[in-house]
Amino acid sequence: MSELFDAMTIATHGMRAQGTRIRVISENVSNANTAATTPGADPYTRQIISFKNEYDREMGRDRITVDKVEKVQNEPFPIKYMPDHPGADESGHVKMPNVNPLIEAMDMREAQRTYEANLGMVEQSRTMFLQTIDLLRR
Amino acid sequence: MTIDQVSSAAASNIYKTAQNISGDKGLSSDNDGVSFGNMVKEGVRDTIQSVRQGEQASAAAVTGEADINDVVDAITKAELTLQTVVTVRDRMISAYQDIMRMPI
Repeated sequence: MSELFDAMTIATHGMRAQGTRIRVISENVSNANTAATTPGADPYTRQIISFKNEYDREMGRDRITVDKVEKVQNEPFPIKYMPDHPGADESGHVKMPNVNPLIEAMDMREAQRTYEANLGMVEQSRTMFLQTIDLLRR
Repeated sequence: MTIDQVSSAAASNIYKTAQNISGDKGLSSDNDGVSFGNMVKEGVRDTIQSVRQGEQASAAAVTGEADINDVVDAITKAELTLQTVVTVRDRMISAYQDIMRMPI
């Protein structure tokens, strides 16, 4: 119906994308200590989300969408000495997840800020729209 | 001519004019063929659709099926569209009332 409505929808898609990002980060954080359960098996592998621009046919505008959520395979698993763990090998070492809680915390902060920015866009579009209608009320 | 006769003639004239106005051609402007009535009709149809989407979204939200972002988007749009139509309507009515109050 109007440019401002489209702006709101685009910002809403941005919010949804950041929500998915937070979900992925949450999976990483909650599994930060999920070691391998059997000897030789891999522990929880860190997941990373990527976004892409997509043309929304219905709206006729570009907007964000989640491209993929994939496992990070090129970062090695740290080894920890835990001889009593069911996942320990003969030497008593267990593979731990390649999740760094500090990196996850920074990612989370960034997701939160981006979400906030999109929220601001929705609010701003709405305010501008209402201010325009207000012209008719005098 | 008595006063009664004058007023009944005037009344029938006004009635005829009102009938003309309420017809299809009544509210159209002279240069382009788009009538004001149609414009309003179109606007109201858009509003009804937008409000309906907002309602569907909130119903889906209650049953836990919808994404909260979609719900907020749909309801905000419905609210803004409704406000636009209400404001335009108020403005038109106040213009109409101004004309009605005009001393002849």
